[in-house]
Amino acid sequence: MSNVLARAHSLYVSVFNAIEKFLGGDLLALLARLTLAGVFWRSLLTKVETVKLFKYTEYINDFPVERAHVRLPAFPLEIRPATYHQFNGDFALPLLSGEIAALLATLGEFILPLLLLFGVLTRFAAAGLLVMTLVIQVFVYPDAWWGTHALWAVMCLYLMSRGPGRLSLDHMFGNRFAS
Amino acid sequence: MNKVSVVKTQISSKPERFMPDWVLGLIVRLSIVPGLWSWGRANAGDDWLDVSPEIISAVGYWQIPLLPDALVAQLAVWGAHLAALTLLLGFLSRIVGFILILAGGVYMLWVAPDAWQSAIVFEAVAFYLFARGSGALSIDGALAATAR
Repeated sequence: MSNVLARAHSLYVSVFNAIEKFLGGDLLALLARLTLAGVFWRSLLTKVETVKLFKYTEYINDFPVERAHVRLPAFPLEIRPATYHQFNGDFALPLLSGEIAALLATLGEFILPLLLLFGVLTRFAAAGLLVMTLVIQVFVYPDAWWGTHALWAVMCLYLMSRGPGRLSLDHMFGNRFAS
Repeated sequence: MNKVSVVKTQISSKPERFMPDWVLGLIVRLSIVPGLWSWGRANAGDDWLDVSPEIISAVGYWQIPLLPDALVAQLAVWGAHLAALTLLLGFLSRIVGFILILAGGVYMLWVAPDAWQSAIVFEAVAFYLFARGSGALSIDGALAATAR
């Protein structure tokens, strides 16, 4: 019996050591970077004017609704009036005017996800997104810690402490902030 | 090693020393546990082993193939409780991480395909547990230390 258990344990250890070796480093870091970047990039798309690529029409209750497979921010970045309205109302932050807060949030959600995507200054970008997460948690959606903001914060902490992995420009160019 | 490269190494190793694997593993586990536990409690019945009728009827809308609705509801509610407890203790975290990845996949495919963005964040955190485990401050860590 103890022989069977020892074999099972040895199999468990060797399987998960192999998994850790192949998935626990660079791929995990890449997944964390892309996931976190995606969260804030999609938030950016709600704040600025966008261009739609690969449009299609979807019928909801027989009404045609124009959709797009790809949406990108229009250049130059143009913040929607509704965004300023939100930051002067529901999303109002102490000490900052709605206009400045909207501008900072938009720039943060534009620049930091791109840095994460390419793995440039990853630790700095993750720290920036952690600050944004905490601001959102404290001032905007205080009830959304568990299940949402806690998960974002964990990914920021992971990237801040472990860096972007080898699948990044940081690593390629030997940046000091990379792992 | 020249002075510049020494300073570079010190700068990049500082964050890792500040947050070693056992701290990171603990934080990752604790970020998931309350969500799982509260979902499980919200969908449990009056008795601990019961499942609320609302979740059984909700499963009917999800249309998960092959399994009967009541069984899916039971597995989901009990699984959420069990996963929360095992992650809290750090027991079999890699296996629980793998099961949570599968559960997230089911959620994205059948439960709420439009909400895949929130599910993918959960998947990424579960992937950490699957790939890296729960760290030294856990039953898994203690067992591994004993086995060595």
